[in-house]
Amino acid sequence: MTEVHILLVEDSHQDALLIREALRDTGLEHKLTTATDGEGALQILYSAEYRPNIVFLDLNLPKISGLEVLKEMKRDSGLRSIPVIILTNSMSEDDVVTAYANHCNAYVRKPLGFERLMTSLNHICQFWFDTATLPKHRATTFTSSPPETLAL
Amino acid sequence: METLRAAFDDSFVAQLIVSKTGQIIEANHQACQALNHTREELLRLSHNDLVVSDDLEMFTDTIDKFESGRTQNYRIELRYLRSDRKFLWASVSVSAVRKEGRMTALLLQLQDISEQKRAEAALQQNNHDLEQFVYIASHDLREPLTAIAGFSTLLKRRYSGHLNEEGNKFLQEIVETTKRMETKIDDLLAFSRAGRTPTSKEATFPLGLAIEEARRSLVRSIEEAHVIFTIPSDLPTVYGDRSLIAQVFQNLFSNSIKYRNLGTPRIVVTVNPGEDNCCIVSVQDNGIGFDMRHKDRIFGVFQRLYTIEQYPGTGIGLAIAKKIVERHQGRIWPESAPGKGSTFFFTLPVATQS
Repeated sequence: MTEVHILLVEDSHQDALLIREALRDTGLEHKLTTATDGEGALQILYSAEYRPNIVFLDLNLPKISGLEVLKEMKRDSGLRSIPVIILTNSMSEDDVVTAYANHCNAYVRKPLGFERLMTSLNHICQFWFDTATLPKHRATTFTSSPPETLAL
Repeated sequence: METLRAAFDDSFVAQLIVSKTGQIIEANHQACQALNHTREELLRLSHNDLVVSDDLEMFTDTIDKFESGRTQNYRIELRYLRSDRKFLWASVSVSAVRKEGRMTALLLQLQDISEQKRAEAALQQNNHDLEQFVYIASHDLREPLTAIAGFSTLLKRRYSGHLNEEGNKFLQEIVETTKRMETKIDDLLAFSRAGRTPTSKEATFPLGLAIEEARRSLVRSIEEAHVIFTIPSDLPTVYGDRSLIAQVFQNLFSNSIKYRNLGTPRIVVTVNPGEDNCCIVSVQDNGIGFDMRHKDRIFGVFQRLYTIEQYPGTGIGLAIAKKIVERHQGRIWPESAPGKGSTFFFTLPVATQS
């Protein structure tokens, strides 16, 4: 499998760190970019140099909510085909229904415990990169400023 | 006539006589006090002026019923606006004053239920706030827990080799406790959802479907424990939310299986007719039973009669069952004795008796 580009939109520093470590332990070759709020996520997505293969999106985010990011991505013909996985603590029926109604590709509740997190992330990535057929645009590596600085 | 007059005036009950057009013809002392008006003031007023406009239609409907002779005595709840702008919430018993068979006026007997209504409203608000709190708290508590659980298991995964036996034991305690907390938080969420899930009052379903749903969800433990069920074939159709009622059965069955005795566990479901178009469902087992001293405690959130080592679980099942039954305007109660098995009864509104 070639290197995959993952965009993580997560405001909790702890959760972002755990997800980073869990992805590392999956052994999956990847490049992880993190945005800490919805605004930052959209800036990254609209920057010409970067296109992730998959987005892990928290719902409860400062500035622009995860739901708004999702809506925006699915409205934009250039971003629509990127799988968006909602990764959140919320298991409210309303959130699940609204997220699917707005075309999220999967709704996943943050698993408790490192190994469970790792397994989930691994399954998700395996599915999207091994099983599902994705449109053929390759993720481009950014050359100038890394997107993390854009998010600030 | 004199005695009737005295009975009207001296009664401890607030009484008004109102003409067909709504004019107040007579008011006794209690009525004047209750409405905070003098008798003279009241006699100048129309009854409609005193009633809160939202409740007026209910009252005019009542008059129509009397005029058409469809009713003799009627009780409605009306809100009156007193002269000091306070509300009087009254349960009003209305009867017709008739002359030669024709209705000439109405006798209204007002019973002050303001306190009761205020208490009910406050209680409802309290319950609502509490449910909201439980939901938000359990949701917010899960957030830091994800981090604690994540980092402790990550520590274990990467550094358990650097810790001695004792260190590993301590770390394991953190991991176990976090898991327990997760279960508790999820149970609290389930509990608050049981109260929040909107139920459709019109929905009916055959009770047997809810029982089947419950059994299906427990199929593994039922098979493992070799449970023998006795379920009547003629079950009624009831009003309510099928999946919620299935959850009640599921919690009761799962308790029967968990607290079973040595020997084959048996669960017997019966349905008997009850009062007010309700049926009484019972779930009886031959399990270890409990002392009836605990009959109320067992329905509390996170209440358990045994240690977690003896019987695992957080102790929320019966609290959820109670909440669901009460949302269906029913009640739930047990009968048990140590070593004699337990029976749980609950009532449900019946749509059709089979």
